[in-house]
Amino acid sequence: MEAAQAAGQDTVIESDLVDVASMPLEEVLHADGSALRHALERLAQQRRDPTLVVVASHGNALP
Amino acid sequence: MSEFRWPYVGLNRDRLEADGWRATPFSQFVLKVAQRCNLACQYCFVYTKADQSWRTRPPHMPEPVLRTALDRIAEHVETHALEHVTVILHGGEPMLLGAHRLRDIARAVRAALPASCTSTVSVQTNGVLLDEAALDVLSTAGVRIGVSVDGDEQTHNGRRPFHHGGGSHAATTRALRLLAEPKYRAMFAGVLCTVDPKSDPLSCYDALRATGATTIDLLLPHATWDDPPAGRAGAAFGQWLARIFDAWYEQPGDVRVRLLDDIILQILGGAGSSEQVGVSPVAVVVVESDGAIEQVDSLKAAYSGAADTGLHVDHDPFDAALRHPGVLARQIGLRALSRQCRSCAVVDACGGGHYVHRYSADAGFANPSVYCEDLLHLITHIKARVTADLDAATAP
Repeated sequence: MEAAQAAGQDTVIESDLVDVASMPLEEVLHADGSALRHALERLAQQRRDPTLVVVASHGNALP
Repeated sequence: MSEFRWPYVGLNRDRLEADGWRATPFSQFVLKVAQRCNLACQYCFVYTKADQSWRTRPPHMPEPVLRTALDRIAEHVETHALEHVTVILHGGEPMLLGAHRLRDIARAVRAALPASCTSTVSVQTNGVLLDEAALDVLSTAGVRIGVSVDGDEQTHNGRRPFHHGGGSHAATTRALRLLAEPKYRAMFAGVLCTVDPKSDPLSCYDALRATGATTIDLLLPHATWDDPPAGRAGAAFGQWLARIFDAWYEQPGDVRVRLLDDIILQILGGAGSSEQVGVSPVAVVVVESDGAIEQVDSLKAAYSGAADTGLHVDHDPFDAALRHPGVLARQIGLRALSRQCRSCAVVDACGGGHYVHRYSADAGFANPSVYCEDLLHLITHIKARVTADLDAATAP
């Protein structure tokens, strides 16, 4: 599609998601106050509770 | 015309259900309690884009419409045994109703819900009418406040003027100072900033940090392939956001920048909670001031009637909206994305971007985002930094 071509999306990207499945997350979790730690905490929470349904909230209103 | 494009054709609900897919109940209800606004923001998707339906709707949501909408929310809660819902009082500018009316609505929300369901009631405001007296009133109903502010004074005033042309920064800042005070801090949900790539990102970020908000949302201005954003050449939006990412990421603290935080989480394989990126199901439904049940209001930027469902709180339960193709399309994850997106390496973190940004008249919503280049730049930038830090932290 012309519009998509305009976005330059024919770029080939080699890597996919970062594989954290085998990483010792606890070590990173000690990085105090970091954005990465916060994300890893949320990731750990999602792993602990597989029934947790994360929904996307309204983009123009903070819940 | 767009009713003949995806998702209005080509989406097979029966097949999805046969594959095990199930609808996600709505848990966030946006009530358009006010249809007008006291500001004239340059980029507003309600007033400056394709859909002008605000002109024909009641300026304020009438009491009978409100009562019926709340009954419908309670019905949805009971049908799906929901334990928590969020109700957002939105506009236009909701503070045009006055704090007492908003307090009464918040109380009515809680009174309508069954005891088994807790609720968060929030107001999304430009802050102009938010003074101490208003906050005192709203605090009695436990209302949370999100404030829209576009960073530093010069940028904000240029983009968020009053109708007479004067800037609104001083009035908004006054409200933000109040919300940062200990007395009101618990009410402060955070700030929203619409990205202006012509502005200095670090000046913007510093101004947002200075508000004392613990949650910052950065929004790409709503645009489509047919109405593309000005100044996006060279991934200008992505580069602007990447500079804020670096500043935020390197600065220890507890401020959450939702868009960036969600991208990190999704790069790591988690599920995000932002409508702008990722493939988490969108569980938001809108009730307009006339009682119409609509899809997310940002769709108004696509074409006239784009948010319509044809449903109304007088006649229809919210479950009927769960069967609407436009709602369905936002709950099926990767299956909703264009072939180009599905073959992209960053698709899990990007999710095709915001739904409305994918729109073109020729292909409906089955496109990559009009911000594709920007999202690719931002996500690959974030991924490189996160990967390096993870490698360093986990090295033997």
